[in-house]
Amino acid sequence: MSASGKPEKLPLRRRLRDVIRRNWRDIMAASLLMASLLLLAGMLVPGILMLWSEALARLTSLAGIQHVSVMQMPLLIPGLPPLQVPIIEHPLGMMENRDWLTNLGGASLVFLLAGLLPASRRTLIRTLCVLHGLFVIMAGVAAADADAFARHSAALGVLTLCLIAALPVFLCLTHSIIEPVFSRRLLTWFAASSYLVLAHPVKLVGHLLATDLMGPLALPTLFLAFGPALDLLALIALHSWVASWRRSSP
Amino acid sequence: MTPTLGGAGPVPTASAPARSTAHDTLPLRLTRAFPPEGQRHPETIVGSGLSGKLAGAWLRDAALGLLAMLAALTLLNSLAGWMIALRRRAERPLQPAVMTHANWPVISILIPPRGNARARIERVRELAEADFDYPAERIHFVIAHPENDDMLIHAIEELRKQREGRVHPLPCPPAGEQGLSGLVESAMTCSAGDALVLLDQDLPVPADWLRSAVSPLLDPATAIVVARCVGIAPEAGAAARLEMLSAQADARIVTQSDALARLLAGKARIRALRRQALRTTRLKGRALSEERIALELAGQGWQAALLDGLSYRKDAIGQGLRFGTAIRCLGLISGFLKPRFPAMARRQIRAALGTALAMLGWQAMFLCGIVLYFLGEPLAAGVAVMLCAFTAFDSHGVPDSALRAAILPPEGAQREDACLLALMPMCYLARQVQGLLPVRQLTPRDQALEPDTPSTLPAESF
Amino acid sequence: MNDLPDGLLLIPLCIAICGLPFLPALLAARKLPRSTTGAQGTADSSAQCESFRSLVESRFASLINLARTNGTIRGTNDHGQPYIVLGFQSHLAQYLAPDSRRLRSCVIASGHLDIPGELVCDRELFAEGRINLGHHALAKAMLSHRDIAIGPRARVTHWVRSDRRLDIAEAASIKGWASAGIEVVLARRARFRKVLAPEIRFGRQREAGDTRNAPDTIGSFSPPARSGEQPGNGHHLQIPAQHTMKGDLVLSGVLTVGDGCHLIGRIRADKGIVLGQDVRVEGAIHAGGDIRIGARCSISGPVISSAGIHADPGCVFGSREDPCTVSAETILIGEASLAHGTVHALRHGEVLAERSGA
Repeated sequence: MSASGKPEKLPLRRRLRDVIRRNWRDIMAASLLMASLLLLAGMLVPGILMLWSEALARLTSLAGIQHVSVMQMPLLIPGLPPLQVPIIEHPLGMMENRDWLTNLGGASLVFLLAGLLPASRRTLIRTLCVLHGLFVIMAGVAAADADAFARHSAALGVLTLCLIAALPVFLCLTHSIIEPVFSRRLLTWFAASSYLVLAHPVKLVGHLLATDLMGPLALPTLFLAFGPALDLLALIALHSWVASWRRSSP
Repeated sequence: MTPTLGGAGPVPTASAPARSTAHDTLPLRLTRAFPPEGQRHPETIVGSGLSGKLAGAWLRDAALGLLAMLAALTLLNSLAGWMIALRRRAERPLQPAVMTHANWPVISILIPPRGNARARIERVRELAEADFDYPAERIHFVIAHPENDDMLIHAIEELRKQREGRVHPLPCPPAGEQGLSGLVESAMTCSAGDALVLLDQDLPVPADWLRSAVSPLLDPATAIVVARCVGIAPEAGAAARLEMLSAQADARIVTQSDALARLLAGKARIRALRRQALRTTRLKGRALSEERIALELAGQGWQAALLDGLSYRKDAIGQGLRFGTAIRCLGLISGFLKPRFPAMARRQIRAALGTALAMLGWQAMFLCGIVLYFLGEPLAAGVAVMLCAFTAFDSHGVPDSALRAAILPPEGAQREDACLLALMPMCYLARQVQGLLPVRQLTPRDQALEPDTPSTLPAESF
Repeated sequence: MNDLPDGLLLIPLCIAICGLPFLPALLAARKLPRSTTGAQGTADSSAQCESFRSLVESRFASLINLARTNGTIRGTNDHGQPYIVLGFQSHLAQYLAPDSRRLRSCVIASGHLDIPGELVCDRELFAEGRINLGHHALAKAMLSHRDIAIGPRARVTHWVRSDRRLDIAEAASIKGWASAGIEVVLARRARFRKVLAPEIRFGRQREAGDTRNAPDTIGSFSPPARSGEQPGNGHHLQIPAQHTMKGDLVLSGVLTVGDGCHLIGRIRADKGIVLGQDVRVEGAIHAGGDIRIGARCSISGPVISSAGIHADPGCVFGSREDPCTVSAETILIGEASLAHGTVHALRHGEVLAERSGA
């Protein structure tokens, strides 16, 4: 305490330096882990893309939907060779009255049936129904073009790649906050990355089947509710699952 | 990194099955062009004609700009949460001291009429026998009772004799199941002393927190004392456990300056009010709610103190941040800029503003995502939706990044519940929708569960 | 809508694969919740002390009676932890191995208890008589029905409670909670965290007749008016010496009070408070920054600061009738000061040695 009675606080820069000096081992280890995981992910990306395109080809042929083709779209990132992101081409037909009936009727039915559920779950399901109804109407106004599904699959592919790239950074930043054990961090990365790689083609084919069943009007709901948001929630689920394990020493 | 798709056009893979040949050579762009190139699909444009195109392009640019701004703010918010969490982990900050000795002021305890007649009389008897951690001669009771409840009036009279006149009956309309904060104004006139302490009818008479609830009011700049609600072991239900989980995680990083924000978010409730401060509010004749009182006092420069370590039953926790409250909260911005306000009050106003802006920002970001998707920007829409999912991490209705919610107590039971974190955004969404919907007239049964919600709330909330 | 494709069965597969990460969450949601304890953190020291007292009264009462007549008893409790119940005339030193530096047993004494110097006691100590903790010794927790004396440079890590007087010698240190039924006396350079007693004396007390009478005030001071009924009397404020001020005061800056002032009302200053000598305050003092208190001030309390409190010699906090709380992160108190109630230093508390000539 200073004699003048004014608070004496260490300047921010010095406090920061103290913190870094005390924890530099952990900081270095986490940064090193992030760099190596990023490098590893970068090296694996061409392989992942090949795997996706192969898996998509097989799954689409298994689904047996007509006029479907798997193509590759070059993703241009400055300073890197172009990445061939696999996409699904599925020319969507014009909207029919049956599509409206299926989507809006289905949403209303689920909305009504949700009344049977307990209040906490009811709100969520009803929210989804209302959002779906809204999206259907908006999709009807701004009608989908023939490229809509290709664009949908390309955007999902790019966002999944972004998530794969962001994962090591997130793990590094939350190192000492959520889980300070390195082996568990690695396990989290492995589980989350495997999920992203393996679930992407499955999800695309799921969307394809849903679109085929419910018409082009279902595309917005599929993208906004069951697209990247689902991926992110799955990552958080995996992450928190690992965080929920008890530590051997408290 | 600016990824661009397209350019060379889609290339068929070797193993591609039968495909249509119509789009072989046409370039596919990830974003729809405005105005569209080649007019392949004229119906892709919002509206029709030139004005429609221009409006669509303008809307898209505006939405993209807004999204960029909101994303930057979200990342800044996450960064702040990250810094706080990291600091808390590294420094283990001190717990606020509970005052054991002081020249305790005279206070009045307000007890609302709840439940059936038997429960009310039981309540008065409990009070007569209660042993508070406070000098008994400095406690006055203000007991609200329906005008026609003779048995209760009789019981109050008995208590009055026992407590040497330190009991003040407060007649209220028999039918109106008024909320606790709804009674505050009329209780002001018939109470005595420096402070009004609010006591819920459905909670056990607290013996051990009266002293700690009143001690922040010894600071002349403090007007309200807000107690943080931590649900005690919930009997069942994932939703209840989620709420408790987020309350526990929140307890690890909450600071004194968050007092208003906690109250607005439904994580805390008013426990004590300085009578002098309440007299200055311009709330005469209006329906009161906890948030309204707190906002009015904060707008005048009074500060709130956060009382830690109180447990409540789950159903005593408020509803969370409502859209109307968030909008009203923006009115505090003028107070934030006044240099004459005590620094602590300004800090609390900043925290409350931050909470309200975070909620409005989340909703705006979600809306941006939807709009951008329909304007043909799926990548930007995806980013918006992902940020929304990452931020909607508080079951109480405050957007919080995953980083903050992940700070869980290391104890076993809560740690095992960490799996539930993935369900938290859904809980958040449900609360948001509840906050947006027009609040229905509360039935008496619902009121019993939510004791502090005044029946006149709908008109005031929006 | 097209005809139903053959691969419709793929949809459940897709849902299953995409929903797989949520399986632990769903399982956890279905599982019955465990009872959650420890939400409020660990029990505080006073509760630990009371539980130890009830343990002694319930489990050791008969053993103490037995030890009074038959001499010392040694044994282990249900958890295998050793204890010693000392007889009336026994000394602990008799039961320690020569050159032993560590005592792992809980000690219950039916008479006085003397802890030799430089001994480290890992468990609680109880005596029906007086406890003397030798120099440089270390104890976890101590409870006595009579006086406790803590020797020079001795340390107590958790709590200490005497039902009568507690003497803390020079440079001794109490890291936890210290309480006495009558008074606590802290010698110079003693360190403390939380001290509770009707009277707490810091350092060497002045002799009778040494106290100077507070000078009379010469005028009244009125602070700048508030706008309406809002709190806030401005940023910084200086009250000239020997003035009286009545009413609550709220500042967002620093408050400086001249010598010999008399303030009646509660005070809040966000940046800090500087009190001159011989100032009398009848009310609470709160500060966001440091509080510096001049010599011979008297404050009826409480005195709360979120930074530090520095009190010069001869200050008085509270009174025997109205005890108060003095709380800050760092508390440095000069000799000849007196407090009634609680003095709580969250990080560091120390009795300052009076400078020569001060």
